[in-house]
Amino acid sequence: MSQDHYTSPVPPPPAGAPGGVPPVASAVPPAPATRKRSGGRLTALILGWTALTAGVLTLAGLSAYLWLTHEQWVDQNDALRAEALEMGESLAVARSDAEAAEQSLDEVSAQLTEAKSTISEFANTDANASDDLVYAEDLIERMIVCIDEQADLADHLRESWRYTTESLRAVEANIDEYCSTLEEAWEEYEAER
Amino acid sequence: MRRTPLAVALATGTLAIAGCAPLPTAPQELPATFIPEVEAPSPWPEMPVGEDGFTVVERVAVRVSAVTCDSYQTGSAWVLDENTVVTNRHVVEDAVEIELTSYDGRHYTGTSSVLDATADLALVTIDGTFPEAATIAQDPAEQGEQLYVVGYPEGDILTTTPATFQGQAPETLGEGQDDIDVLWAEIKQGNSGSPLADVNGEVVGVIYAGNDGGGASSVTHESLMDFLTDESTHEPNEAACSW
Repeated sequence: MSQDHYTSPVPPPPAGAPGGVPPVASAVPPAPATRKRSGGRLTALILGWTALTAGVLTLAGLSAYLWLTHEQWVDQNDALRAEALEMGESLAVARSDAEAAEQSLDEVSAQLTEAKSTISEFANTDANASDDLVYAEDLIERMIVCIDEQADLADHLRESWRYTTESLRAVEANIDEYCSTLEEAWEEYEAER
Repeated sequence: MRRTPLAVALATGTLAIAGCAPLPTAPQELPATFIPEVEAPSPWPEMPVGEDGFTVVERVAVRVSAVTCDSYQTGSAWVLDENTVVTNRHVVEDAVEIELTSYDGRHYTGTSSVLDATADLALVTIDGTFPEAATIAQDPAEQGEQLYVVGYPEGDILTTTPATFQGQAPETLGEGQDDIDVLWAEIKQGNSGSPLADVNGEVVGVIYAGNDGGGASSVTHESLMDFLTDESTHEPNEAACSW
């Protein structure tokens, strides 16, 4: 049993080491430690690459998400802009129509007011003319009474022997007063026409 | 060098986690329309207007011309039904002739009239037929309410005058009379008998007096309704002139 069969690729102790051949017990342990270190490095490497891959994939997903979201916002912005332009155009047309309608309404309203005023003026003129006519007819009727009374007075004067002078003068004064009042009323009426 | 992948992974993970928090969300769905449904604004309260542009009260306001044995006077009235108008007692009392003219110039002649024993009211019956009549309000006016006096001040052109209802007060012009409505309104002689109407064009009283200070009085809604429903208060209006 050669010692070489059991030796691993562990390098021989350096020449000139104290004691020459190292103790058997201290020559075996280094072999498992080297294996562990090598396995850990591999694991770390795998983990690192896995994480890196995951990170890259995450970033790629995030980028895709951001791109899609951005596209949706852009699309919506376009839609909103188009809608706003359409509404602005509609608003401008509606405002223009409203202004035209308002102007037309003002004109019609003014015409209606004018027509109402004309109707009222005619009705008022007519009513006042009717009042004047009634008044004039009354005056004429009373003037006829005045004339009749004067005629009666003239008859009485022709038969003056039947009445006292005082009574005749009193009647004459009454008739004169009545007739002069009518005359004044008529002149006033003529002046107001 | 051996820790580099781990550091990269950690950094990437941290970035990924940190980036999740402020991630922008997708925009919400746009509504079908941006124009909301709105109710049409209620029109400013104005008296209803007929086809010819005159208000419903103007269309039933009548000019009264009365001749008594010793005077000529004008006033206003309003159409109660197809052949009757309401006016003031003092407008037609002792009249031997009553002529009426509508807002559009139609002429009518009063054939008979009755007077109210307790309020300044009268009914005049005409020889023809009125095309439309006034509507009397269900309830009296309220304090501060905007009203309108529609009549023929000074026997002149048809005029609508705004009035504000102040409240009721005892009658001081006559004895044993009903309470009266007190108003702020610029009325003139000739407005006597004018309908006092609310914004709906319904009659709430009858104008019968005013002063230069902008105060006016009207027969109350209650007195009007009593007069119209209780014929026992009606007195004949008869006059005979010596000439």
